Amino acid sequence: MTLEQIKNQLSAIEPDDSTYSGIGPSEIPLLEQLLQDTEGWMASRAVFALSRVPDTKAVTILSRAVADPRQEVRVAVAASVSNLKPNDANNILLKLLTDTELGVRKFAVQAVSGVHDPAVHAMLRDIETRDPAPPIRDIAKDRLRELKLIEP
Amino acid sequence: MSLIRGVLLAGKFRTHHELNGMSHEDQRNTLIVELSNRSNQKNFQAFNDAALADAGAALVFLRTARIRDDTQLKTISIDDMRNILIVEIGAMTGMGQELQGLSNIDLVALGLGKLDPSIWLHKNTFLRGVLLAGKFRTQHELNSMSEEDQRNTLIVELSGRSNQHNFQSFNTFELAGMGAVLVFLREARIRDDAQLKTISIDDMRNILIVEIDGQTHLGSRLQSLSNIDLVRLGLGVDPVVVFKPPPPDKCVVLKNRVVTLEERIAELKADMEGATGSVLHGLAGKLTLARNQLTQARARRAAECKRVIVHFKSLLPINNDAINLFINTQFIAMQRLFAKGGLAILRGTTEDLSGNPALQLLQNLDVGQCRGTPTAEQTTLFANRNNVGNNELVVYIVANLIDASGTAGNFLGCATHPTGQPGAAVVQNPAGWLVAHEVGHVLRLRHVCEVVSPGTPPPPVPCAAGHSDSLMFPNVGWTNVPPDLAASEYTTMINSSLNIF
Repeated sequence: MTLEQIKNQLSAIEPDDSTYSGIGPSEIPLLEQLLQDTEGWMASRAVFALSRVPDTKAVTILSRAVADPRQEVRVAVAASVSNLKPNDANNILLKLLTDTELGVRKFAVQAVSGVHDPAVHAMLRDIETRDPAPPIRDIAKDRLRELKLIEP
Repeated sequence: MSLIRGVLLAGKFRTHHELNGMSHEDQRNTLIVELSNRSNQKNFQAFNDAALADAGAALVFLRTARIRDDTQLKTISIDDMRNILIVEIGAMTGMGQELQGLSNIDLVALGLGKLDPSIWLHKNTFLRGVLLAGKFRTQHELNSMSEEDQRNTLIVELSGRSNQHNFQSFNTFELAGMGAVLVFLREARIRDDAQLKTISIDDMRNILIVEIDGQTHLGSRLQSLSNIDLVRLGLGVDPVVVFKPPPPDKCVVLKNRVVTLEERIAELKADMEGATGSVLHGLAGKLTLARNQLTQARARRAAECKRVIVHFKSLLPINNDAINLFINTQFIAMQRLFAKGGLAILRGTTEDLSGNPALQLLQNLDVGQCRGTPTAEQTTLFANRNNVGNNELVVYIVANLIDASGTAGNFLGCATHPTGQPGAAVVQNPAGWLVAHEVGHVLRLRHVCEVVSPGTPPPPVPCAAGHSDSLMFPNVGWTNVPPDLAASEYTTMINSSLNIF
């Protein structure tokens, strides 16, 4: 697949499963290039595509993307982290949960599951009491309850 | 009648009282001298009155709106000024090539906030014009402000410049009219700031009526005019034009006719209960007639009033040129495209919801897989329908549209909406027909094809050459823009239940 072809495939207005179909480990270098696309939405789309490729290189790139200056890219990492294996997701989640952007923290909180590390759960508890944004504290509380990590 | 008087006043080249003592020829010569001294052009004697006023309007607008200063204007011609004006009005409205066909006066009217009735649902307020003419804000500052910000700015200015303080209770039309009176008295040098500060807006209106009577000798007829119309007379607009009532909106007339006939039929049915003999027979005849009239009125309304009203509500602050320009350009692109098939799109309200803390998290909106069933977040967002009528659409602008499950990814738009709350959500994106595409979905259009992807079964209609020319191509890579809509797609949109005004 060429960069043009993959970009064309990923340029759906309303993406679905088929948008990412046929994209595998051999497309990782192209997706890494797309992470630098001038249009933030296309870089975000590349994040979602990378999260669906079961490959350590993809995880490494996503680990770097948590520090991307564009908030929409970091939001995409947070919303796609549930596609990763729990062991790959733990460190990424720890960074996303302390992001300055509300939207990143929102999706990161929602991505925390029972199979993630105790350190992630501890940070979720911390957010529930200390996050500067009340709506984030609320969704953290809801998530802790769903995971039965606090009393209902 | 030309607007030479208005240009001389707005440019502060002469006062209202000076102009009252000048002949038309004197006013014309004064403007010629001013234009010759303030541009690099010298052939104004050859201009007729209308062309002269038109040239003056361009210069005065660029100067008053602080787009160019006197030194810069002095080095360029009126044609150069017109080109700058076109660029500025284009940046403000999102309009393009069609601006070339407008006179300078028409361009300035747009800059002052005149709304094209074929685009906008609500009437002109000239709020923007008052803020510009009063030099309370510049053109570029206004481009970055929401209507609410502009309104609040005028309230602060009026409170600080009169002895009145109850401006919050007035609607925007009334408020702009009050501002117009104050600004006119000040800019025409009928009263100075210190004098205005001691009186109310009502006092100012009375002073203005006396002054306009001195100019026009229209007497007590002036009492019936709105503040804006008084100011229009002061600027030299022909009284025949000012006193002419606006033509009734055909669709409002038809809508009222349908409502009246429906009420008439209900009354006749009620009267028929218990009636007998010839009375019953007479009522039955009237009922048949009213039903026929209703059928005809409905058919005419359906045929002639195919309108969709689209409002915008933004979760991103409307405090920069980019968001305003996004809304304007997307709307105009959609309006032009849909008009080709006889479907009129009218612009409704624009609301900045970014200050609502309850909606803060929805800036990054979870739309699930956007397959027709709204998420809890979409349901919460779409409940915000201030000033939106039944069957009117709302386009919500958010930072990101996300499937929180990570399956579908990030969307550019999503037309899934709760029942009875039609609308779509979009992100700010350079794709020129994004809003049109989503509104097309709301009006029941489907994609023309699906992009073929390796590893998935072929879709029922695989995308092929030519499909990308269509608005409903599933990707943003439209070709041969503006995109096309088939006759059957226009019919589908027109037949949707949302299209009758």
